[in-house]
Amino acid sequence: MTVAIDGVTIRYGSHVAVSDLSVAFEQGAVGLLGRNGAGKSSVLKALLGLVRPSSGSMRFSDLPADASPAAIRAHVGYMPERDAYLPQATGFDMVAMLGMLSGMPRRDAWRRAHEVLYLVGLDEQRYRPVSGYSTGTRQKVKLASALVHDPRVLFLDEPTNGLDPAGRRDMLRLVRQLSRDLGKSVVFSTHILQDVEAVCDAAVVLEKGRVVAQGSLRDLTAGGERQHGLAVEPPTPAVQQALAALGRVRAEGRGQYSLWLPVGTDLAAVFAAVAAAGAVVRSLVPHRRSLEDVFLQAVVGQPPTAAPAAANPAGGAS
Amino acid sequence: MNQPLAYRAIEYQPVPAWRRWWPLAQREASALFTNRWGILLYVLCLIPLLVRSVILMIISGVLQFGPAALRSRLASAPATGTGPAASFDPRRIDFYAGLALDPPAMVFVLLLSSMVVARSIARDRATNALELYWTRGISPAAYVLAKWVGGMLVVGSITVLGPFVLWLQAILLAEDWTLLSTTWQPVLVTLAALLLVTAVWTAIGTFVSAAAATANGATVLWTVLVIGSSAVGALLAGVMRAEWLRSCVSVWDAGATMVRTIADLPQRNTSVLGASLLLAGLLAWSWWRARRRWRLEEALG
Repeated sequence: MTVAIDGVTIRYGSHVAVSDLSVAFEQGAVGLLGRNGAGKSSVLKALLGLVRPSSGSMRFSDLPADASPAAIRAHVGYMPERDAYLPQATGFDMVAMLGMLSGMPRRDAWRRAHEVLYLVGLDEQRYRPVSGYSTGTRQKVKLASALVHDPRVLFLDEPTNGLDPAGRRDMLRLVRQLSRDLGKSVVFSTHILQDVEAVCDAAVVLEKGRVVAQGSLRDLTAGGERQHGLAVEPPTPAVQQALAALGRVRAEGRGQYSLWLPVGTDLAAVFAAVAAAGAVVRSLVPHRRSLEDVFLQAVVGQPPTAAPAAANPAGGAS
Repeated sequence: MNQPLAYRAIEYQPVPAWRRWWPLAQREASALFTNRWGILLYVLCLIPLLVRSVILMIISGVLQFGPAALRSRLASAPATGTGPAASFDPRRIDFYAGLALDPPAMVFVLLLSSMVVARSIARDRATNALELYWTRGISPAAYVLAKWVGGMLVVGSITVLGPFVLWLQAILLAEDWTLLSTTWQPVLVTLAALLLVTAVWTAIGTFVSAAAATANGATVLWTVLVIGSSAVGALLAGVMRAEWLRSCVSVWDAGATMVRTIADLPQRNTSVLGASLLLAGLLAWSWWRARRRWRLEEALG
């Protein structure tokens, strides 16, 4: 199931939380990134029908356009960021009750609660009050609650908060399997960029209620040009001239070059240009931007650490 | 999460949206009995029923308990319908209604309602459970309905079911079916009136819970509302020598006035209009406060 948001604006009184947002969450796992107050939670709440946008429309691909919020929520699993649990309830009680409130008959909800609690790793603990659980265990119960009614779309708000390294690894593995093996659409809202890189196929970056970057991780990290590390023997001025004809280049010394080529450039052209300059390529290693570079550039305008513009303000070959 | 992934898709026939609140109401009603203090509190609230039940058994001669003189007075009261023990006459509807309306009942109903009804929504807010509920296939209105009905089931078990059980016991202990034939109609009306007033009391309590910032705050607010209004009503009635003021100021007396009026039970000088206005006004005010708070939460949450 895909989720499309078209021109949505969300206001809280005079405060505009989200402004004219248009984005599509495709099948698979999509990271929703942004600083505090960027509008991530508002987007999720609007999709859940908890907040009514002042303009724009939202559409779940497999549901009618006029589906009620309750009908939408029946197909959506939501894991809130905040610590949330039912008072005086055991883990099993909580998951089963939330299943029933999602429309499951009692017998199915009970059976299913045991399944998903086992899935997230709660054995005998499920019969203890949730109020006594550790933070990590409560995260697991929240995930089980989000999964109990077998939703087609999962909204996970900071799911790895409070988890120890092993718990975080397991949580990410489970989310990855839900999206890749079981065909769930997952919207993964987080501050932790490594988590997005680990589980998501695409990302949307919000800043002050607007989309500042979106696309597949491959495209986002590729940027408009791709960086390569190049080692050439012998390093002559002719080699640098030949490389400059292909893209931007910077000599690093001892035959090492940094080379930025437009996306789609055939690497055979590099070998041919070096050979034409009377030298040979000893190594050619593609470098990728990290998601952190993408995020920082999109959100605070800070260029990636190894960007050519930073290395060479003139922008051309050096 | 050390087990291999065993997630499986499921198929089920969804329960219609209008029936989904019922499991939550059941949970609300049973929550009191999940710990020993809750059970103890409920047993404490059953004391008036147990006392009247014992008195009934003494009157009917089933139980030979207590001094002979007392037994004789209790046994003679039904026959004469006068004297200090006349209020324990099973032929009078007051005997059953008094279980829920007499001043001692206020203490027990207040205890129960402040622990169950007044804390219901405020407790959910404290643990952020509202976010979990409202992102499910249940509307906020259905959620409040569930909380209200759940609380009403618990309080009603004392204020409505208690008198009914006592009446059943009196019927079964009576020598013939005369008591049944002469009391069934007024008892049914009285029970309906008790149910109505219990519904109003618990609705106000539920809205107070929704409007309060914390569970303890809701308990305090509800207690002050019931005890405080009762005290102010008694004070005003005493100072101004106007007994009817109690029914216009005290939440408890207003409810009792409504029941006694509907069931046509004897009562002191009261104002039915004042009692109705007080209950309706409190209901509207608490509902408005609750709605206002929810709107704020929706915006800021």
